[in-house]
Amino acid sequence: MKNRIRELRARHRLSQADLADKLNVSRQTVNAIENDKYDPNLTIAFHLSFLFGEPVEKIFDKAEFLKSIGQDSLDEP
Amino acid sequence: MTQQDKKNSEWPYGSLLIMGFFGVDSPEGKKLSIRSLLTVLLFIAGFIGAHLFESAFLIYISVVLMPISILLIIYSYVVYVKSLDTLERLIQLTAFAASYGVVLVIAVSIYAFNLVNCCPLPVVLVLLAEPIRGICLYFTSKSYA
Repeated sequence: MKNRIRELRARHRLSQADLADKLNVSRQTVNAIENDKYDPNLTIAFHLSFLFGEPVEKIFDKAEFLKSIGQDSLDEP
Repeated sequence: MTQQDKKNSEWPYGSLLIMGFFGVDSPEGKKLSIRSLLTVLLFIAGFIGAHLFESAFLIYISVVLMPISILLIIYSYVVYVKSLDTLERLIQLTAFAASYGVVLVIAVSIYAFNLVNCCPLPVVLVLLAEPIRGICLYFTSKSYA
């Protein structure tokens, strides 16, 4: 899933290694998430939200997620 | 991506291919490497003992050492996999699934070939599961780089 982690990480002046330490994951995992190759679990997503002070849906691309489940918006079941 | 970040994106391919895990940088990796070495030593001791001793009791003890060494590595890997983050765990489990499949294919092949008495296959072929796991680790991790 597309996300703004690289941008937010740069804004907070964190390297991938710094962020990996804070999230308690490997540097390669941070890299895979940033490059849209791996979707993190809830724990990592909420941890990122806490670290960057942004809601999860503003870090990860909600529109892309909705498209992947065949929905235009969350209001429609 | 900075140069440092580019370097960070690389998985430890050498360790994955040769040792079958993410290296000895983490304390869990160190423990696994020590336990792997112990497993190999126990297995070799059992193998040599089974061929060297003449006493039936000592041969029996030596033979039992070999499966016990495998139990040790199973325990070590369970502890290790639990210590990994979700992506590393996914990569390891994908490789384990592939090697498990290889062991099944080889076991069935050994049984089938022996059944028809045509070119019997050596049981030692199941050891191919390890290099196949290493190769699978390499390619799976590469897909997440």
